[in-house]
Amino acid sequence: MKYLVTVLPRAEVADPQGETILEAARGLGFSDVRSVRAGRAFVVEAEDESRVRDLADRLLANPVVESFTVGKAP
Amino acid sequence: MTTFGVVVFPGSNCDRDCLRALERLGIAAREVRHDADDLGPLDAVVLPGGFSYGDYLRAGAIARFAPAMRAVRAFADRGGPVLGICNGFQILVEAGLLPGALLPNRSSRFVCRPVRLEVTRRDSIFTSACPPTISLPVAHGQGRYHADAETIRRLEGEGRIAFRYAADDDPNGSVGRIAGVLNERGNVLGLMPHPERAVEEEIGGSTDGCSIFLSLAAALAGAAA
Repeated sequence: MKYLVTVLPRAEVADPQGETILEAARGLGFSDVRSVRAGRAFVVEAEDESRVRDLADRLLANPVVESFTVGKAP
Repeated sequence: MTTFGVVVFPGSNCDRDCLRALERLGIAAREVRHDADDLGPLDAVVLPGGFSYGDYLRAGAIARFAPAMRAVRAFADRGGPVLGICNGFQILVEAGLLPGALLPNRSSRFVCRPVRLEVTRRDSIFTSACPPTISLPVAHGQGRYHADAETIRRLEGEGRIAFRYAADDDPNGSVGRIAGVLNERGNVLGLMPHPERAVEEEIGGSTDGCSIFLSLAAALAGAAA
């Protein structure tokens, strides 16, 4: 089973990468885009979701500054 | 004879500068491979700068699981001194040997220049020979120290902030301008600036890096006496 893990900076952490992307978006005319947060996505093939959550917590995300979600990969 | 070990991970690139700096200061040192299960007899461990594992996933996130790091953790748990420089600091926070995290610089720029540091903890084994302010070069894109408010309060209360960037010389937006942090016991130090790049007069610039290595060597010589 393939799972999609997305990792994003926690809300209280400043995200200069997201801000840079937002500026680029505005430069392309997307004045309606209010914010961008940048993170990472992983597609993990494994036996069950709880194992993937464990992996996300131990390795794929740094829980000090990142949060993650796990779902079925599209 | 007091011997320092410099751990080399795939992608480390400051290991030779560390070995050279120690050699220049008359301190015996050798390399330790990332895949060594056993450090061998050592009195101190240095985790050098660079881009271990390409900074893939997160800087230091993969190196923290290297076999040598199990041995480094055991060494630190026994009270052995561990000095993490730049990527070494990133590895220490990922490994949980130091609190907090190191994030991309606030400016989104890689910063490569000398910075002035306040030595905010002057009685540690790493700083006893340091003057109140020192100049060291930084070279990093991900040096912004972050920890939650409670952790910062605890670090400040326990005197565990070893270095802060001078108020007008902050290269990365670290909370509290924190440049270096100690563990509870005081035997593990992580700092973003590079002391090993500030030991040789011939290349110009600061030689303040000597004071950090010499502090540690003196502490070890004192302990052995």
